[in-house]
Amino acid sequence: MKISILYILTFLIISAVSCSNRDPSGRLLGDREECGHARHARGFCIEDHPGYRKVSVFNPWQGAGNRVFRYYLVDRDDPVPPGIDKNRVIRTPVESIICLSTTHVALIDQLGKTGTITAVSNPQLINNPELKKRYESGYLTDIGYEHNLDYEKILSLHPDIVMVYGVGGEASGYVERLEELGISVVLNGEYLEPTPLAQAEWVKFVAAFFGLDELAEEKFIETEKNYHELALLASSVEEKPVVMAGLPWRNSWFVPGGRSFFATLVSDAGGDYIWKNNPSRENFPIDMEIMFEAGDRADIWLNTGSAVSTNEIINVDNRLSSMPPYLNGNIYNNIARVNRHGGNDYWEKGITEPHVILKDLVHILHPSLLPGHELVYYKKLDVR
Amino acid sequence: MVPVEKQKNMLLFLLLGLLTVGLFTASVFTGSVHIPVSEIARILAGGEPLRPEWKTIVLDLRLPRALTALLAGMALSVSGLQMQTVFRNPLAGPFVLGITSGASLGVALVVLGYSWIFTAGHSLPGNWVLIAAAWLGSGAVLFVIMLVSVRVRDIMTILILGIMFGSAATALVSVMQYFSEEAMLKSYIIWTMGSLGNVSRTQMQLFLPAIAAGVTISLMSAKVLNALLLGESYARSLGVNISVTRFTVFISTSILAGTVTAFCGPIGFIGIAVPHIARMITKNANHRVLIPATILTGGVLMLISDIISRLPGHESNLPINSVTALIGIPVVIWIIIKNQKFSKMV
Repeated sequence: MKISILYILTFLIISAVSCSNRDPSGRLLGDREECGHARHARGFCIEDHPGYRKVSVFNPWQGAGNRVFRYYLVDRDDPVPPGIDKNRVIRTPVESIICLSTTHVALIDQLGKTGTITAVSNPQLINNPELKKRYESGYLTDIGYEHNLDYEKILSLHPDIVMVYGVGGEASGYVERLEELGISVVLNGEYLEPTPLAQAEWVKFVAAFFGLDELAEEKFIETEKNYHELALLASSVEEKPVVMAGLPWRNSWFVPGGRSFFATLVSDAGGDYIWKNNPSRENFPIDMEIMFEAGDRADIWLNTGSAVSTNEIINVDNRLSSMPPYLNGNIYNNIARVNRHGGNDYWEKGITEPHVILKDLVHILHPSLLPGHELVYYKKLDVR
Repeated sequence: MVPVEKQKNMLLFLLLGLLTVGLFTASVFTGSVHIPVSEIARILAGGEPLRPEWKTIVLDLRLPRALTALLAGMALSVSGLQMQTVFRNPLAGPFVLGITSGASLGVALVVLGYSWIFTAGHSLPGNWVLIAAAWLGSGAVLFVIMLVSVRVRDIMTILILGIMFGSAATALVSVMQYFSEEAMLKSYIIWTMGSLGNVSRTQMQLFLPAIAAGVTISLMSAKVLNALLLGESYARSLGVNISVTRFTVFISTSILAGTVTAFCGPIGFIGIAVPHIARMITKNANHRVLIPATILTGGVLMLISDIISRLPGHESNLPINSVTALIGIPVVIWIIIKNQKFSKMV
C-alpha cells in the first residue's frame, strides 16, 4: 500500500512543479478569434514584436487538453531581445531542416526551400521528385521514425530545426529528448486541422521560419481562390450524389467522421456524405449491418483504402458486391499518385493543393461540371 | 558451503563481471555514426573530440543507453527469479502479477488520446507523463494484488487473480485501440516493442536509484527465498513470515519491473529466461549465489541484445523486444532439451 502512496506522491510533485509552466492566455484550438495571419487554421498564431516574432502552436496532438508551444523567431544577425525564453529562440531564416512528415516536405517545397531539407523520416515514402533523386543518389539521410530516431545522425547533421508532428503527445518523448541534446524542435499540428484549407494554410506557419511570409500569403490566396471557385461551382448543382467511404475489415467498417477533412471535401464538392451528421473529426467504426443498410442509397464510393481494384473489394468481403456503387462501377480511390513503396502524394503534395483534390471530387460527383478534367489524385477502380 | 564450490562461484562471478565490462565498453564504442576509437577514448577521458557533436553522441546517447540496457537486464532478471520462487512456477516472470498490463493501460491512456487525464492542461515535460502513467498503472495493479494477498492465503489464487487483472487491463486497452487513429495506434504499438534509447541523463537520476533500491531489497530477501524453496509450511516452521515475505518480494518486483516498463516499455523474455540460464551455469539453487548470478547474466544478455538490435554498421535497427526473444528462445530450448528435469529445478 505504501508504494502506491509513493506513486501518487511522485505524480503530485511532478504536477505541482509543472504548474509554473502553465500558459496564461489559455487559448484553445476551438477559439474562433482570428489570430495573426491565419484565416482558416486554428492551430497556430504568428505575432510580430519588436526584435522578434512569436509563433505559437496550440494543442499539436489529439487529446492534448490545453497546451501551447511557443517559438521566438529572431533574425540571424540581430541580438536576442531580453525577456523571451532563450531555449525557444530560433534563428531565422533557417538554413537546414529535418522533417518527420511528408506533409512538412510538401509545405517547404511549396516555398521553394526543398534544398534546406537535409534528412527525413522514411525517405522511401516521399514523392517529391527532387528529394527522391537526392535519396537515390545518397544525399538525403534517413533518420528513422518518431520512436526510433537515430539521434547520432541527427546530431551530426547540425539542423537549425527538426520539424515534428505530435502523435500521442507525451508518448513521443522524442521531442524532449531532442531538446535535451540541444536541438530546436518545432511541433507542426497541420494534420489536426479539420478542413483542407486550414491544413493548406500551415504554409504560412512554415514560411515564418524562412522569412517568406509574403510568398506564402500569395500561394495561399491562390489556393483559397481556386478552392472557393470550385466549391461555388459545385454548390450550384441541386442534386447531390450520396457518398459512402472506407473499406471494412473483419466485420467493422472504419469511416471518416462527419466533421473530418474528408467530410468537408465531399460537402464542398457537392456531395451528400452518408455520415455527415456524425459529430466526430476522426475515423470511427460502424457495424457491417448498419453500413449495408446505409450504403444501399449510396451513388458513389470513395477512398477504398488498400483496395485498388474491384476484385480486391470482393476479396475483402464478397457481400460488398451488392453495394449500389459497386454494381454501377462508381468506385474511386485516392491512389493515382502512390509510389512503389506505398508513399501517397495525396498525403504529401495533396495537402498544399486542396483545390486540385476538390477538382477531382467535383469531377467524380458531377462529371458534367468539369468536362475534360483528368483526375490527378483519384483513380477509378478497374474491374479486374 | 564447501570451499571448492565457493572458489568456483568466485571464478564465475569474475567471468561474468569481466563480460559485463567488455560488453558495456563495446556498446559505447559502436553506433550508427562512425567515431574513431581514439576519439571515444579521448571523450571518455574528459577531453574534447575533433567534432563537438561526438561528445554529445557518446556522453548523452551511448552511455545512458548502455547503462539503461545493463540496469534493465539486471532488474527484469532478478524480479523474474523472485516470482519463479514465490509462485514455485518455472514459467513465472516479472510480469505475472499484471504489472505490464497495468503499465500498458496507463500508457495507452496517454498515447491513445487521453493524455489530459494525467496532465490536466499543464505542460508536463514530455517523457515524464508517460513514465508517471506507466508507474501509476502498475502501482494500481500492485495495490489490488496486495489487498487480495492480505486475505487470500493460497499463492495460486493470487497468481490467477494477477492474470485476471492483467487481462482486464488488456481488454480496456483493446477498446481504446479500436477507437483510435492509425497514427496513434502505431505510436502505441511501437511503445510495446520496447526501447532502451529513450532514457536521458536527467531520467537516469530517477531510473538508477529506483533499480538500485529494488535490487537491494531482492538481495536482502535471499534467505527467505531459500526457505520458500522448501515449501511454504516448511518456511513457516523456520520462522519465516510468509505474508511479509510476499509483501517485500511483490514490492521489489513491482519497483523493478514497473520502473523498467515505465522507462523502456514492456521488455519480454529476459525475466523468464535469465533465471534458468543462471541456474544452469551455477548449478545451484541457493539464492545467495543465484541472485547475483541472475543479476549479472541479465545485464550481459541485455547488453548483447542491445548491441544486436542496433545492427552495428547498418542504417536501421530492430525492436529490442524481438531481439531479446529471438536470442533468448534458442537458449531456453537448448536448456530444456539438455536438462529434462527443467520443471524440478525451481
